[in-house]
Amino acid sequence: MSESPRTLGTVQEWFQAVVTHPDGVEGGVQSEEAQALIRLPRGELEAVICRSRNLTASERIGIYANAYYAPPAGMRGRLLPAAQERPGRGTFSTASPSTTCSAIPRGATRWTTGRDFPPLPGRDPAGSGGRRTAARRGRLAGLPHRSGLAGVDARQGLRRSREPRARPC
Amino acid sequence: MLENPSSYVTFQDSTMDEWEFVSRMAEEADCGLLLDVNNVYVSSFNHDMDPDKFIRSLPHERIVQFHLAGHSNYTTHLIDTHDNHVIDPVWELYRTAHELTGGVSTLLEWDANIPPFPVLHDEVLKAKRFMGEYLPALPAAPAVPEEAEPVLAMAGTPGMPGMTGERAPHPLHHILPEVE
Repeated sequence: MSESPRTLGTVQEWFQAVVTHPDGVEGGVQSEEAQALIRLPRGELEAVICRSRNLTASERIGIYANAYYAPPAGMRGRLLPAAQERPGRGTFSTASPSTTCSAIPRGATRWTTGRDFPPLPGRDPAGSGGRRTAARRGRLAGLPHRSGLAGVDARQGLRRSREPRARPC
Repeated sequence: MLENPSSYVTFQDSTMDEWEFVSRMAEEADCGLLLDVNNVYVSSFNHDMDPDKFIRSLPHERIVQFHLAGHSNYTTHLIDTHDNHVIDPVWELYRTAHELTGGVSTLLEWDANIPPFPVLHDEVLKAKRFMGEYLPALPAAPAVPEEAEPVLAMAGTPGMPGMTGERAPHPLHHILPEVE
């Protein structure tokens, strides 16, 4: 833990700008909005987010970024199957993140959270089996706003970060 | 009353541990704490902290309720998903929390992948067994003078107690004994 001139408000606004960015964590960190709050060169994410013993800073903040888009998209498909069928799955799956989020009832924020959390490669929830993971990755593959990201391949789940392992803070 | 969250990142700018933040916040706000024992375990795993130290460091006199839940284990990190059984290490933390507080009420959260009722009920009974060790027996209700007892006034509703002047049942009357 270090001393820094950054205020809590600045870190909170930066965090929101990063995890809600449609181009993923790296895109979010490099975005104009995030850089205006905290100027970070590429690969310097650990200047703000600590790594843990098991995960890099990018992987950790990626949990929030994935939670922001993947569950609402999955829920929308289950809650509005007609919308998915009529225009065709392709049309439905290209809906913007903001459209996806606006279609979800406010109360439906947690009930499918576990089902929709994309695991890191080779790290399935204990006892869940590979079939569930494959289905989850299949759903993620239908999310175009995630498929072109640096650091994320929607067909394979999260790629491992190239950040060097270092001591957690 | 404020609840401790599950979290997945820590910040370089943090100046104190989570338990210190929660404790100072509760003291400053002069509020009660809802201690989510599973959240303590999830955050401690994700942030390489000691969950037992976390619980022992809180102001126990401010804890007014416990939450229990299951989570998803991704090996490298845990996600608070409320979709599974409470795991044994969380039950052990719950036991510690009961010892430290003297026992407060508990809510079991299971709101995704909800199992058949008997499975859910078994989990509640398991919590109740822990509670039984530490939760003091409820004091007997004080005697109320006959003339002061409330009477339901629902005249005109056939079959309702008010029609015959029956006294309103005590609220605890509606709580049925647990099926063991």
